[in-house]
Amino acid sequence: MFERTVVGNQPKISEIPGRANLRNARNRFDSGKIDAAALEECVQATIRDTVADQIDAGMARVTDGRIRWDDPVSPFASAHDGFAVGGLIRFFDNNVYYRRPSIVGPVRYVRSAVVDDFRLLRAMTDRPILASVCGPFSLAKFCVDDNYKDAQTLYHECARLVRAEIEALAHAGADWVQIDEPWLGFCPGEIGPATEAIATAVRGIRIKTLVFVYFAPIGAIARQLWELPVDMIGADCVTEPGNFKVLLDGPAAKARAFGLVDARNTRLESVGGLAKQLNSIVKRGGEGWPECWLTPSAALEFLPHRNAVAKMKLLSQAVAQMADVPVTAI
Amino acid sequence: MLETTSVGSFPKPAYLTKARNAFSRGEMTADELGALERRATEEWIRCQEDIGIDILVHGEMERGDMTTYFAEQLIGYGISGLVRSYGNRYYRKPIIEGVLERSKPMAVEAYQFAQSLTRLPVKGMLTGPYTMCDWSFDEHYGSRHDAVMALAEIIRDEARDLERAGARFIQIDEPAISTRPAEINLAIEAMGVVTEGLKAMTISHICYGDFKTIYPHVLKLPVDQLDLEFANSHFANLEIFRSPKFTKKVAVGVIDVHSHILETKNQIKEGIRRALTVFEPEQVMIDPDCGLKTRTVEEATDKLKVMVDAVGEIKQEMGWT
Ligand SMILES: [Zn+2]
Repeated sequence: MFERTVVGNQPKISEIPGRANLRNARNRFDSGKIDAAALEECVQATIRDTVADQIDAGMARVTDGRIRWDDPVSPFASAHDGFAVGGLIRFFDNNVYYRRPSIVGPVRYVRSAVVDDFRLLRAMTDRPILASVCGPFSLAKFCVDDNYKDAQTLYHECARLVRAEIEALAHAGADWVQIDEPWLGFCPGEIGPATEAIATAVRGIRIKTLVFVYFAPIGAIARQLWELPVDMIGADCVTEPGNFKVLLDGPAAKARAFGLVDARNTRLESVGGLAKQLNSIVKRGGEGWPECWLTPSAALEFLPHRNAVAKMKLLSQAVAQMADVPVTAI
Repeated sequence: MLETTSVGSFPKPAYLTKARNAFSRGEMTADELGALERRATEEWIRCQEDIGIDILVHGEMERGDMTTYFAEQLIGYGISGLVRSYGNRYYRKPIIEGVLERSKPMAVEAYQFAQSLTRLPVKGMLTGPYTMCDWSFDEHYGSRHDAVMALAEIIRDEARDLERAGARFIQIDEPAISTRPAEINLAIEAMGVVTEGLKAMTISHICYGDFKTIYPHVLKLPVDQLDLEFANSHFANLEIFRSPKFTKKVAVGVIDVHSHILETKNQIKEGIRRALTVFEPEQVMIDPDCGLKTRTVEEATDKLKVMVDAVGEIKQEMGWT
C-alpha cells in the first residue's frame, strides 16, 4: 500500500555539478554546435538521472520523467498525421507556454510517440514503470480543430489514436499507463462524450490504466469517472482539496492515486499533516482497494530540481511517519 | 497615429551575455558589468533612432527575467532554482519568503540613462503586481490577494519615481492577467493602486493568454493603453475586440517574436489593415507581439525595420503623413 510514483514531466535540468545539462545540449544542437547523436546522448543521460532521483526518493514505480516532452500534447501532435504547429498559448494557469496544435486533416496513427522511451527505460531499470499518454479528450481539447468541425468525431478519432498508442505500449511489455486528462475537470458539461472517448481508448486493453486529472475539481464528474473501464482514478488533491474526499468516497473495487504534495509551490507540506491524510485513507478502508498510490499533485517540472526532489521525499517521509500519528476520523 | 514602439526587451549582444556569465561567476565587478549594460543600451537607443521608431524602450539590458529582476532587489524575496517556461527557456522563479518591501528604486536609473541619450520619449518599464505574484512561488502570504496588494504598493512607488524622473510613458506589464479570469478584479484593483494619480500615459502589455475569457472586462484595467499580441495568432484574436467596442488606446503586435522567420512588409501591412477594421486609427500604435529578447540582435533589428517600413507605407497610402 501507498506505493509512490510521479505523474508528469520531471525537471529536465538540475544544479547538481557533473550532471547532464539538457538545456545546454538543446541550445548547442539548435546552433549547430553538436549533432543529433550528441543531443540524444544527453537526453538519455538526463533520463538516467531522473530515474536515479526517483529511486533515491523512494518512488516504487518510476517514469522516464517525460524528459522528451515539453507538454502533454506536442509529442503526439508531432508523431502522427493530421496535426500542424500553432501559436503559443499558456498551459492552464501556469507561467508555462506551449504551441497549440491545429488539426488540419484526418488524425491518423503513424508511429508510437512513447514506445521507444518505454523500451529505453525498461533497459535502464528493473523497477516497475509507469508509462504515459495524453488522454483522448485532452488531446482533442489541447488542439484547435480546423478539420472535423464536429466534437464527437474529433473525440472518437483522438480516442482511436490514443488506443493505438496504448496498444503499442502493451505490446512492448508495459503493465501500467497513465492517461493524462487535465481537461476533464474543466469541462464537466462534456463528461459524457469525454468518458466515451476514454472508454474507446482503453476497453479490452491488456494493460492497467490510470486516468489522472489535475488542476480542476472532479466532484461534479465523480460518478462518470468511477464508471470508466479503467483500473485507477487519480487526482490533484492540492489545487482542489475537495478531490481528496472524492477519491476516498469511490467504490472499493477501484484503485486510486492521491496527488498530495503541491507540485506548483516550493513550500513544503508538513510531514505530520500528510501522515494524517494517509491515516484517513487507511481508516476509510484503503487497504482493501486494489491499489492506493501517492503522487505529487501534477508534474514536478513546475518546480526547480531540488524542490522537486524534496517533494518526492516528502511522500516517502509521510508514509514512514504515518504510524506515529493517531488515526482520526475525517 | 500609428506611432511605432516596442514592448520592452531586446536581445543582449554577445559581449553582454558573456559579461553577465562572468559576473555571476564572480569574475567581473558590478561596475564593469554596468558599463557594458550602458554600452548595450546606447547601441539599442541608436538602433531604434536609426530605424525611425517613435517611442523608444531602453531594451532591458540589465534584466534577465522581468519578475526575477525586481524580486532580486526586494526585501522578502528569495531566488530559487531554474524552472522551464517554454521550449528550452528557463527562469529563476522567485520565492516570496516574508513581508515584501522596497529598499530602493529599481527601474529609475536605467530609464534616466536611456532618456539622457535621446530626444525621443523612452518608456519607463515595470512588471505589474498581479504578474509579479503569479510568476513567484509564495511561501509567506498564503493569500493571492494579500501578495498582489503588497506588490501593488511597491510597484506604485516605482511608477511615481519614474514619473518624477520625467517618464511620459509608463508601462506596467501584466502578461499574466488572463491566467485566471476569476481574478481579473484583483488585477484591476492592484493596477488601480499603481496608476492612481499618474499624469504619464500608462500602458499594460498582455500576451499569450485567452483574451476571450477576460474581454471586455479587461477594459476596466486602469491604464490608457493595452499592448497586445496579434501576429502569434495570425490576427485571428482581433475578432474578440470587434464587439463590444474597444475603448482604450491599443498597441497592436504585428511581429511574431518567437519565430526566426522575418515577416514580409506585405504580411505586416495586411495585419495593420485588418487591425484598422477593428480599431480607429487614432487608437492605434504598432509594435512587436512581445519582448524581442529571444531573437538574435540581427533578427530583432530586421524585424523592427520591416515593421517601421510597413507602417510608413500604410500611412502614405492612407494620406496620414
Ligand atoms: Zn509578452
